[in-house]
Amino acid sequence: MENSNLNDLLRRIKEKDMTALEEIYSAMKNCVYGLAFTYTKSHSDSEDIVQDTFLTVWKKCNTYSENNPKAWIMTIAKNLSINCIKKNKINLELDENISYNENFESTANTEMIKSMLSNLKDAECKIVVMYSHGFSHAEIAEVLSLPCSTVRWKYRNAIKKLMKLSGGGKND
Amino acid sequence: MTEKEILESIRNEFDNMAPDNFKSIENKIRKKTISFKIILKSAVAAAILALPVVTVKYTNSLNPLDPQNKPIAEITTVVSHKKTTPFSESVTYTTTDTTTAIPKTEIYFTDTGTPTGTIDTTFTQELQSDTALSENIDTSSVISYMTTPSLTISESQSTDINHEIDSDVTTDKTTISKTTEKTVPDTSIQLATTITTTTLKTEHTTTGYADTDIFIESTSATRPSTTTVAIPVTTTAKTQMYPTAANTSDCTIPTPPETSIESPVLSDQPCSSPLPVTTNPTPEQNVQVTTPKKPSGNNNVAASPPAPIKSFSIYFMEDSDNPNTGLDTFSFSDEKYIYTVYFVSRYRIIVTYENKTITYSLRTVLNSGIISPKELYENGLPAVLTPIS
Repeated sequence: MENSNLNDLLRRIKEKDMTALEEIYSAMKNCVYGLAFTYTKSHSDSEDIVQDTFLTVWKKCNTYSENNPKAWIMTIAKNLSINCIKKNKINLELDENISYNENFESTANTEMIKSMLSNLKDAECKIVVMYSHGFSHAEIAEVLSLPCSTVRWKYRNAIKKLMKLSGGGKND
Repeated sequence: MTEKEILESIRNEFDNMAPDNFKSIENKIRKKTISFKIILKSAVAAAILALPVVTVKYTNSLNPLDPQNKPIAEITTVVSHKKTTPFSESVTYTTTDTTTAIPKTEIYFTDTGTPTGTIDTTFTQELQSDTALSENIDTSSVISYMTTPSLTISESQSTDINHEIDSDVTTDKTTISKTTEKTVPDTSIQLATTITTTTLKTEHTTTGYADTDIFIESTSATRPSTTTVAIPVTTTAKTQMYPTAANTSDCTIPTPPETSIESPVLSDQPCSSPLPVTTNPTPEQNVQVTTPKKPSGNNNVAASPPAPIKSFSIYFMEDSDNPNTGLDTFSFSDEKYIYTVYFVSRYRIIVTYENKTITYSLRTVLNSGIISPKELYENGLPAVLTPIS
């Protein structure tokens, strides 16, 4: 969904239009969930973060300045994820040896994704997940508070690793 | 796999895992937290004699009378209260509702058992739908119920003194009426008022013995709308009249009646005991009584004044509320004064003499004690008693 459409929806949410919230929920729930999962590594926690993210959008939409709606919503999800980690006192090593075995469903694609994501660093996982949901490098950089060039560089490294793991070599 | 295939795989995977439960988000948004804070205030302790009961009924319909509309929540709280001091207490009630209907809240306040009967007050707070959908609602401090802002004391006392002379010489009847009305400020806790002593002097033209019947009817309305509590008090005092000489028409009554009516302390409770009424003989106010008619035969009585009481004792009985074996009041005298002792409670006595009133605490005397009127007169304060006012 384009940012202009998201801005229109957020304007309607300011006017307490519940259908607008439902539309924006349908458009962004998957990427919010993906980002939350890269933080919490928990399906249930990620579901809660999705709910809390859109509740926050409903309550705090008056503070939104119509700049970058995607980044604004994903930043809310990121902050809630960090709070969730602190709350649950989960001491995860986010950089290395991330295990997704207990959370992914055992489908063929899931196994492949588990294998791929478990070989990526934490920041690379987040970048790949958001990029797969249509976020630009600049939007990802804003959400993760990283330079855009760093995001671009990390993304290239992640894609190279995944392509190597999948046995492919063709780069689109 | 190509980059595009990898990204699609990752996206599809998270799309399958992501929840699709917008309804729960909508319910959370529509959920309302409604707080009721009922503040009960009482300016005077006398107004709160019973337990106030607060009932909160919360419904989500515009028509609370609809039988199909059952209250979502209902709470009944008995508010604790203090009888001796003004109080202000609050009852906080919180409920949640996820429906979209306009909620309606009814709050019933019932103060039962007061002398005025039952007070049923219904407060209704309607909540706006748009507000209910956006923010939690706090109706704190919306309701403030003042039970009784002020207390009016209206007392009237009338005294009928009917002298019936045994000798059937004459009958004199005098009526004194005195009405005192006083409005007590809000801060008043304990009602204490003393009606000015009313002195009645009568002249009798007789010899012999006179019976003085004193009827006191006291009415006390402690609340504006309270049914008046009538306190009929009947006290009979006998005054012996002693002629100075037998078979003479002139006689001196050394102890003419002086009626002293006092209401020492009125509490907020309806009075259950009669007001102490005494008839004190006052030597300085002797009344010359002449008898216009010839007295009957039995008035040729050579009598002498009773000897004054030299001392009195107060016996403290462990299981008795009245330390003086059931008497509410008694009098004694010495060479100077006449003392009247009122037993206000088991812990307090009031001693009056020469228009003076001293209240003593009996707390310091646990077992027994003897008070000498002389000591009372000379020292002012008996050693064994401690004045509290």
